[in-house]
Amino acid sequence: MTPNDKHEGLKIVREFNAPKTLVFDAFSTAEAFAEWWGPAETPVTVEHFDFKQGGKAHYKMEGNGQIMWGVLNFKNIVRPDLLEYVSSFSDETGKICKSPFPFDFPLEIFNRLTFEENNGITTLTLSGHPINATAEQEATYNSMIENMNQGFAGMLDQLESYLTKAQQ
Amino acid sequence: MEVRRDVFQAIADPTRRAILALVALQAMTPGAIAGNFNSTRQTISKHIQILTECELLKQTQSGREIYYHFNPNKIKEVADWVNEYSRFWNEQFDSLDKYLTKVQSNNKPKK
Repeated sequence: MTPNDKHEGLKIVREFNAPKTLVFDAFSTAEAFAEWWGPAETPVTVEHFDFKQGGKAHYKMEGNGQIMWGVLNFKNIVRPDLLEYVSSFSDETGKICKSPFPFDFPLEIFNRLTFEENNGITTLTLSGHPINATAEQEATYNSMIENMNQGFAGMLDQLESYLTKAQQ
Repeated sequence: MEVRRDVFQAIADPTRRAILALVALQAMTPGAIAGNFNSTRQTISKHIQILTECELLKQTQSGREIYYHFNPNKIKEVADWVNEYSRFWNEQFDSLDKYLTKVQSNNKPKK
């Protein structure tokens, strides 16, 4: 880890054994979206779904006795290669609101998904970073992602190597 | 609006990480902590204050001296949130994977 490579934001790469149009289309209709969006055991109800640039999706997630609402504001859509949207927590009317996290999480995250197909395998790359966030929220997000990208090992490794060195 | 310090902001700063690493070794007075850095004592004491506000450091009084201790429970809490967030995306994509498998097996042309 070097201090210069932070602020890259979230990046997750995942391969799917399916053609990219199919992977892309899983994002593009309310029916498909409701079927898979959200972690397991978290049923999703789609209130509104307008898959076009400037369109919006508004949905409800229920899990662990908790109800959470979210909105996606669709930006750039290039089927089947690229999908960009801004995601937020919201209330039941679709108004953006604070995250349920017990810390100052940014209100809006800009997400970019790219789809690349090779021999029937689609590589989905997700990157995300906050927009319209306060400096504090950005710091929180970057710190969280930085720790996540290193499997949280970064800080503990640093501590451990310090301890080892200090004990010599 | 009140600016709330949170634990993620606290550990985002390299000096504060270094302070935590120091204090994790042994409880230290503010003076001893500051002695490890080139920054002014005020700067270090501001960092200590932030770490204390979000409970990454705990204070104990011993005679006239205040000692700062590392609070490992708080770090665990941070780790839990980070894991939770990362688990969210992994589960999301597991779920997409299952969906794609299902859709493809439904659409498979009969031979």
